[in-house]
Amino acid sequence: MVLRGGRGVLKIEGVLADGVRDCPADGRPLVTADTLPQALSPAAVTAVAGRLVDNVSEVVRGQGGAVRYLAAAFLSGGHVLIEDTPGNGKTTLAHAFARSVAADFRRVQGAPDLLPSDVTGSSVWNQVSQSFTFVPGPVFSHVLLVDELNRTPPRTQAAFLEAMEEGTVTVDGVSHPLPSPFTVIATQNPLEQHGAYPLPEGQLDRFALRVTLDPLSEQDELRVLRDQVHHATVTDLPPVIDIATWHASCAAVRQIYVAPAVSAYALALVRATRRHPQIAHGASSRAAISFVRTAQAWAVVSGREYVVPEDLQSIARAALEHRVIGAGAGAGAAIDDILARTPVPLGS
Amino acid sequence: MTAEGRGHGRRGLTRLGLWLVASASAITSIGFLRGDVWMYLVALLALATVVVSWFAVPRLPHLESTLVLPTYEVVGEVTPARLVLRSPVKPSPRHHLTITAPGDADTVELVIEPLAAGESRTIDLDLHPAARGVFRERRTTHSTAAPFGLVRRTHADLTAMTRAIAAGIDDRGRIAPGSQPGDGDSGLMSVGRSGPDVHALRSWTSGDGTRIHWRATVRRGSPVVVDRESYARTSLVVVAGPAGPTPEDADAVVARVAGIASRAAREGAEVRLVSSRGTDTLTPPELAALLPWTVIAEPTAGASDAEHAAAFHGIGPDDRVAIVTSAGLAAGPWAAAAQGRGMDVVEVEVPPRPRVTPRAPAVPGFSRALAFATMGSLAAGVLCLTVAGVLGAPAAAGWLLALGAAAGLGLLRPATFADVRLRTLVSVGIIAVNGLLAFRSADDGDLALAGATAVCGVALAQLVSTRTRRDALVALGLGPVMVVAAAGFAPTPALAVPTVLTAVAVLLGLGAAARDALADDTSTTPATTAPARPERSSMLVPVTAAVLLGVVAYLVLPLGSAPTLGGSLLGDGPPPQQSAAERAAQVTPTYFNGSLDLSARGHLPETPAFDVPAGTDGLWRAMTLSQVTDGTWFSTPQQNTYVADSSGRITLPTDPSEAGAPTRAARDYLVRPIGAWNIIAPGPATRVNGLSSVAQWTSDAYSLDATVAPFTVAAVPRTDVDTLTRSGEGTDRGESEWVQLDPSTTQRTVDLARAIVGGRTDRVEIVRAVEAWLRANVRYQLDAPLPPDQQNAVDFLLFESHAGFCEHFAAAETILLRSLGVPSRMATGYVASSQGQDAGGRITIRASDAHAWVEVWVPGHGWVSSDPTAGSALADATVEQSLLQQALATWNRLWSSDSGRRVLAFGLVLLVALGALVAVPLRRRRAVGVRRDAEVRGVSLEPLAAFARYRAALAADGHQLGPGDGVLEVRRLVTEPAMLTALDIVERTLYASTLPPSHVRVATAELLDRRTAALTARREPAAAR
Repeated sequence: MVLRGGRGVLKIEGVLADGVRDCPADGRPLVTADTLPQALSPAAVTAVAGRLVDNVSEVVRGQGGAVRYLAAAFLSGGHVLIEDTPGNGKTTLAHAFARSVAADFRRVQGAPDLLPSDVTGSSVWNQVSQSFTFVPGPVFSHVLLVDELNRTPPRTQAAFLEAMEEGTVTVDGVSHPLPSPFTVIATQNPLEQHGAYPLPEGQLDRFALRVTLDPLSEQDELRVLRDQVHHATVTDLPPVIDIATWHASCAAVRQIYVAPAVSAYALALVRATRRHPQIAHGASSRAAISFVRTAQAWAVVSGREYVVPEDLQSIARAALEHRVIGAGAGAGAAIDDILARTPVPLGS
Repeated sequence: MTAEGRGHGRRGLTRLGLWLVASASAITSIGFLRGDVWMYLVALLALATVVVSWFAVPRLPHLESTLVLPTYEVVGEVTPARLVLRSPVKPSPRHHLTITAPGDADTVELVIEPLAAGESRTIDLDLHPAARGVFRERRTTHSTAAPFGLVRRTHADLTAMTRAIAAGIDDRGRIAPGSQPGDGDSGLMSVGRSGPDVHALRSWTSGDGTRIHWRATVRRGSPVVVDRESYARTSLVVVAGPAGPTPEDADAVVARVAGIASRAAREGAEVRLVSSRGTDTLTPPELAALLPWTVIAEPTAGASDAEHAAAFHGIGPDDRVAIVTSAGLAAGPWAAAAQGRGMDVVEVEVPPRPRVTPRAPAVPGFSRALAFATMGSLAAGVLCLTVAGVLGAPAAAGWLLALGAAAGLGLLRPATFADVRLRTLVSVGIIAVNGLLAFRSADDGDLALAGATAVCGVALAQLVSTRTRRDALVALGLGPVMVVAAAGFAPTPALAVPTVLTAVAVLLGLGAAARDALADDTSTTPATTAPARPERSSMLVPVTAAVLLGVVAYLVLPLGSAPTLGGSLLGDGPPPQQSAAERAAQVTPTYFNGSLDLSARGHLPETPAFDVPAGTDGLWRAMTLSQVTDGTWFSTPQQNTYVADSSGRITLPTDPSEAGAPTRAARDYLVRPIGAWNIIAPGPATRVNGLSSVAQWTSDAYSLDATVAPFTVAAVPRTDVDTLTRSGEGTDRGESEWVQLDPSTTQRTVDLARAIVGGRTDRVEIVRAVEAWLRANVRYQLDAPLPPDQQNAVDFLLFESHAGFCEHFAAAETILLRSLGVPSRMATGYVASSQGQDAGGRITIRASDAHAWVEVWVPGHGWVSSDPTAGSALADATVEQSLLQQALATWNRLWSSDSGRRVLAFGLVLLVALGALVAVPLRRRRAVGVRRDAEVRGVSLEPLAAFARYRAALAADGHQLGPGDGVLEVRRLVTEPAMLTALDIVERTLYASTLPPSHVRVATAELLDRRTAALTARREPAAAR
């Protein structure tokens, strides 16, 4: 039930979504900071995730899995790399997410001549004050969409490293903090290698998830076609959550309970990648941390207030595959093999 | 009592001893503190309660453990190896089988025979000690009607027992190693050894006509029976459905059928199933899913012959048939139909399980009523105090209101009252009520006794409503504590109503206990019902809030005028009508007696005595004492009564000792007696208005006689010697009465007097010199040492202790002055201090303000007062008073002023708020802690082990479950809603931050085990083939 025009705590479809109120523009409830309680309950975060997924699904058809991955990454404060062949809706997906949050959104188009300062910003001489003034680049935003990341030269890729890991940008020896939360959604095209610079492992490790898109069914594709021709596109997508909600949701996600046995299971999976014969180089400790953190968000997206081993299994390929270096057969198959062999903790 | 019982007894005795010591020391200390004879009586009463209850408890029915075998009655001769049971003709009443002590016998036969109407017998049977433990625990968990339930095992007992059971059972729950597969709560358990007659072991189900295998029972922890029938020749088992209406019944029959069928299959029988739909809860598809046999019919009671024939469609005449029917279904037509087709028929009866109504709060009605009454007493106490205090309403109205509230409270969640902690809370509440009543009355022994009786009643009521020995101990322990509290606080007639209530409750409880002892137990079979836990905290908050509200209201709201005793709830109205002699006995405490003994210490409570006008600070005189012998001061008693004249005035006779004093105008003082009955005035009283008569008991001391009412007394205020500089011209009084020395006065006292005075001659100077010396050289100390018997009190004070209280100072000054020939005497009365002034501009004089000082004859001024105590050096406060005394004094001060009571109320609210602040996060943390703790200790939580078995059964059933497949994968194989829920519970138990409630976990484990059994049973015939 939604009270039109009212403010306060409302209920949406039986799920208590604290601090949800009407957005007069289109009647869609908008979660805002002023109606938000101090701490979001897991149910409320689930509702927020639900809104996010629903909103994105308005324009991104038939990609339920990828949308959920992105929602989880958003709520855990992680960065996402979307990897697929061109023209399958990578940018639309990223764009839709960025649009769904009423936050500062910037976009960088990767190109071989993109310079680091084009990303971070640079100091400019101010004639009036007779001093250098820092002009922030597009990285100073809450949601940064980097299209075709692998077409930027290594120098520029490195500029993203500090931003993604430290949340700061250093220009001319001065550190400038980035807004929080800060999420990078990057896309890359694995096929077209002409004029592309493969991403270094260090940078890949900074992405919480690497998402690939499912091939569309004929029906979905037809819908996409008709939507694009007749209906609103991604640029018309209204925001459904604001920064404060996003912030609070991230905080709530970090409180999701991870049983010791589940943590041990996550670590067992990560350590197994280091021993597996088909993996040359296993996942790092940072990968393990990010793995569990994303699983927390995945649990919330799935409507649970605690993490179960299946959460880890669901995100294992997306969270680990890009962090390991395969030997021989694909790393994905190796991860599936690890999942099948590692015993799930069942308490007895 | 058995050996183990004696063990309990020893532990119990130790505890009893501890209780005795604790209560005795508490009582003694309070007794010393109060110096009250009644305290000792109350202490005796408390000790008697403890001792009597202790010895009474084990003798009350049902405290010892019993294994309840409902439906059957033990009859006939019982040997250690043989026990005969008979089923009663009527399904009810059910009877207890009391097994109190069978040696090491492996089996005990239970032979079931029909019982003639009215025939019944209960037999004691020797029980294996470990089995006894098992059954005790079971019985405790499933206890229903017995007022005392059973002995709770200690943790150590349980650990030992669990270890013993675990040692004999492998990880799949089978009893002996090397046993054949097959398991489950209701399925089969085979044993390795197969004697000539022992065929198989399985769980005991209610109504089993079979033998209990003690050793297996002990190991498994639930009754295990021996099956001796063989189904080897049977080729077809036909099942008629359950008669019982519940899913549990259906489950039980299915499990039983599965057990029989799987055994028959294992023995080479070819098994098929004919199912029934006896109830809606068991449908053929379900059975078909559970058992891989053909379902060919749904026999119902009224099926036609054609239907019967149709049911056997496809079954050839070569098949042999066993018809398993439930009690509600006639097997006859089926047997006839089968026989008609030339099949062999064996009948096995599956009786319906006794109807079990799971009663979540396992509290019998009477116990509930008891708890209710106890709770009612508390609520009534608080509410009545509030109502009577605020409205001055009649007592009955308050009690009715409170009872109504309590009734509402009780009906709201009766289950809650079963909880020990809540009852403890109630008891504490009762103590709190006692505390509320505490200072509303003076020391009154009779009432203290009444209060103590009331509290004993409450304790007994609690005792009777307990279900376990632990509860009983709690009640036992609280008994003396409450009595001590009640007596220590000197309760009032307000406790009379709780007394009546609790007495009724005790009677009801005893009746309930007797009834439960004589009648049967509506019990359940062991291991079928999950123990339902009463919710502990759900009522805690509202009850605490209600009590808090009541107490705070009582503290903050003005009390209004005190009602009279007849309807009084506060119990501190005016004293009852008494004869003059009785009152005189009360009216003459130490300080106002005809005598004052220096070697005794008076009792000075904080109770208000008088109320006098503001601005009259100083000494209020009650009487003077002139003569002294061996440290005891006294006056000549007189017995006169003066009656008011027509204008209501009583003119008192002129005191002869005042002759020669300058005449001054008398002033009128309005005095309101509250807790004392003397006539007091700032000087010698000459006239009294407002009383019908006064009694005279020395030449200058009077008391109220017939009426207790505010009076106006006319008196000439005494001059203080400190306001004079020199004596004037006038007559001197040299009567021997005022210069008489105590015969035991020592010479050094006289010498000291001379040394102090030196060359002074003027009387005022002499008096002030002596006064000043005493103030400088003797310390004021309320608990100063008392003079030994053989020594003169004044000598002891002046030369040895150098410390004393007012009467020592006054006596010393008088003796010193008299040894110099100065006419002087001791005066007693009260000190009015403007510190005691209330908002109405009047000064309240308390019993503790009692004082003694000196009157000296000064020529030209008459008798003037000299108070050597005032301005003397105070002893160190910490030395003067113990911590307890200080605390009590502070408490008294707080309690007796309006602002103080508000402070108390505020403090109480603050305290509760702080407690809540601490408790809430603690509870949350503990919820998480429970599961962590469980993980750390490696405890296998119930559903987890059951889930592991179920998963193993699924895997054995051909489902592909790899190590990476968890709960979710199993969930995909399940469609039944109950199982989905059960798997949710398993998941929560494994991974969530809080554990599901215990009874939910147990129920989940049971459901999983039933499904495991069904899976296993379904698999086995296939394996056999």
